[in-house]
Amino acid sequence: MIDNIIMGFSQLGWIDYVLVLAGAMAGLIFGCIPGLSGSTALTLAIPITLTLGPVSAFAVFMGIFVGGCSGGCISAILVGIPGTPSSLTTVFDGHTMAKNGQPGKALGTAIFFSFLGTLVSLVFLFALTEPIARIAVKLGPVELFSIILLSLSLISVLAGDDPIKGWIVALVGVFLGMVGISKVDGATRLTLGIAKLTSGFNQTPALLGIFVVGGLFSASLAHKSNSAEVTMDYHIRGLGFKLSDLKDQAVNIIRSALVGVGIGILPGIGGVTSNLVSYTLAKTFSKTPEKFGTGIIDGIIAPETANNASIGGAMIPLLALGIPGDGFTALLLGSFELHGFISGPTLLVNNAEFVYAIFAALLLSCIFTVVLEYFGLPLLVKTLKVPVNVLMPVIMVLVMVGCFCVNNRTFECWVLLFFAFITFIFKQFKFSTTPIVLGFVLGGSAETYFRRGMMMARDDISTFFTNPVSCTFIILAIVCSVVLMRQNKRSEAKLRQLAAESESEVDVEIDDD
Amino acid sequence: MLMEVKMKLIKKLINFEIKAENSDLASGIFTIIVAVLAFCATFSHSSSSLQSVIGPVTVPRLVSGIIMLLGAVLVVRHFARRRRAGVGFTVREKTETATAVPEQEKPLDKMKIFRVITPWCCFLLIAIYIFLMRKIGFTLASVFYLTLQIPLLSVDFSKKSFLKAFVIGIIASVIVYLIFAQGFGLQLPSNDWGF
Repeated sequence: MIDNIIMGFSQLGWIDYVLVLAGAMAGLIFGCIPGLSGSTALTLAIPITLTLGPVSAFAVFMGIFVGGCSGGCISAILVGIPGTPSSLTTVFDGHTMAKNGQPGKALGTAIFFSFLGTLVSLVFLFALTEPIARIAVKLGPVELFSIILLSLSLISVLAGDDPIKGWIVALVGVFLGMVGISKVDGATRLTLGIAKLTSGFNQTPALLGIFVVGGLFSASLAHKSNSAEVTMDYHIRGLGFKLSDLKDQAVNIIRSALVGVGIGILPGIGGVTSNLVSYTLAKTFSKTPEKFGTGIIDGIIAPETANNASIGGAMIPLLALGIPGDGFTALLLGSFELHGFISGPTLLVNNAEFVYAIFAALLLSCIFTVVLEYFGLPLLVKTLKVPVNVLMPVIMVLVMVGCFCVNNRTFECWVLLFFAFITFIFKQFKFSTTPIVLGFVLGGSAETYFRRGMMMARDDISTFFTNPVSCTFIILAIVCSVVLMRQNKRSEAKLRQLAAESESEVDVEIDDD
Repeated sequence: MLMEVKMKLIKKLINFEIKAENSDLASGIFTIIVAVLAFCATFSHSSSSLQSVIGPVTVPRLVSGIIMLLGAVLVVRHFARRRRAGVGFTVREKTETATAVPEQEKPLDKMKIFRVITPWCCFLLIAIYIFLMRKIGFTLASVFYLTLQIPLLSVDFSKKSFLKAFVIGIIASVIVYLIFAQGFGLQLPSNDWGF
């Protein structure tokens, strides 16, 4: 494991160190500003990095990933509005602690445990990716189809409050992912005679449409009035907290980190869900649950450790299986293709140096981010004043640059608009939109695996149930769906209750990255 | 008189909201429509070279079929819940219509109008933007887009606001052009003058 990391570092030139730093800074700024997130920063970075080599490009992306996930706590604590949804529950105790006159302690704790969460998850990433990929390479189409089925059922049940609606949007995504040439027999389908659609919808504009444009206008309308002035003295002395504060936190820290990694590994959901779950668990298992919401350190440690621990977790299935672990990694999946890699279990086998370089970049981002947060805090707080309604249209222009550059034609811009529109309409009917992303990204390969499996079994569908591995995954998919469906309803109710108790004006919205 | 009717219609459109208890019915019907459209799209395909029961559009058809089925489940669930709620449901509906009447009399909330209309205007604006890109080049189209989009999102349609947006638009577009077209050498849609 250590050798691999060293090998990864040897892949990075000095320029890549600078790029990681730049990415981390960009991620922090975007994470800090409510309405923008690391995903927004990534969408802008994709066109800029097209001309760079793959290692340099992913160095930037990793910086953005870690920075974007960490930056959200700053506005959550100082202003009481989460910079990204993954810092939602940090508001409850973090902002209260800041209001009680200890903003430095709240920030210091959040920053340090963000760092720790990332670090722990990276250890899991480094240790687990290779073994999983080694096993996955041996799997045939039948097993791979069942794994994707499991992923889709997990995301459908977990991403919203209605599993039926979750499945509907996931399948709509699958359908859109199948447009164009079939990989099995080369037949063109679902193109409605549009020649430019022959190769299907390009992933980058499609995902940009779902992620950025959909949330763009609502975000800027909602956040119009929040160019907030920070009047608190937010300077951090030392680490911000004393070691004696952490006396009873060991269990909390370990649990939060594990929850973060675990939820990160689950396909499609990441920091947004893990900070909610972690906070709820911390409160449930606490000896003094009534103190949550009054500005205690437990309530900052739990969400901030967990949301960052999802980073490493989400990267595991992405690198080992080609299945994105959250929204951000879904965007990364498209970038593999842009830079000429084939994602999936074979990535690690064929391009080991590249994967190890990503490991090294992640480790660097983790360190750079914490340094930037401690020393660049005044600058980050200043960015909170940027008017989002001016920034958003400018970002839109950059998104257009990104779409156009994918194939040097405006057709990709229309694809962007089409997906944005679909997302918007589905949102009007209260569908959660995250499953579309997973369905779209995985739909094509799911069908390919299904057809190959069927061909190998001479059109006998029972092969998916007689194959032991495949059967296990299908049973797992059904069991998880049923169990999580019940769990989900309970945790949602609990969360609303939490929000009401802490008297914060935070809209509880689990959707979106 | 005609004006009054028109105003009432607009008010109704702006205040139109799917009631929570009808949400399943509405999304179910919507899902079924989507599934039917998807199913129709599966008839556009070229022939396969393989001899297999599973053709190029079998899975898409299967998927659209399942979507339709799930949509039907939503509709059924709506009626099942309604029946289970029984009498309680009708009582709640009555009180709701009773309180809804004075609400109609209230003057239209300006912010609410914008919240409903803005996304549609934005989509239209982006469509025009993409169309213009090919005609007048990326830089000019961006200036045009930003000049209109920023006031639209700020809900401020004064002359000053447009002027400010115009200046921001020029600065941003020029910077984007310099960085991407000149700096990174990316090919952006250009006009006869090359920008």
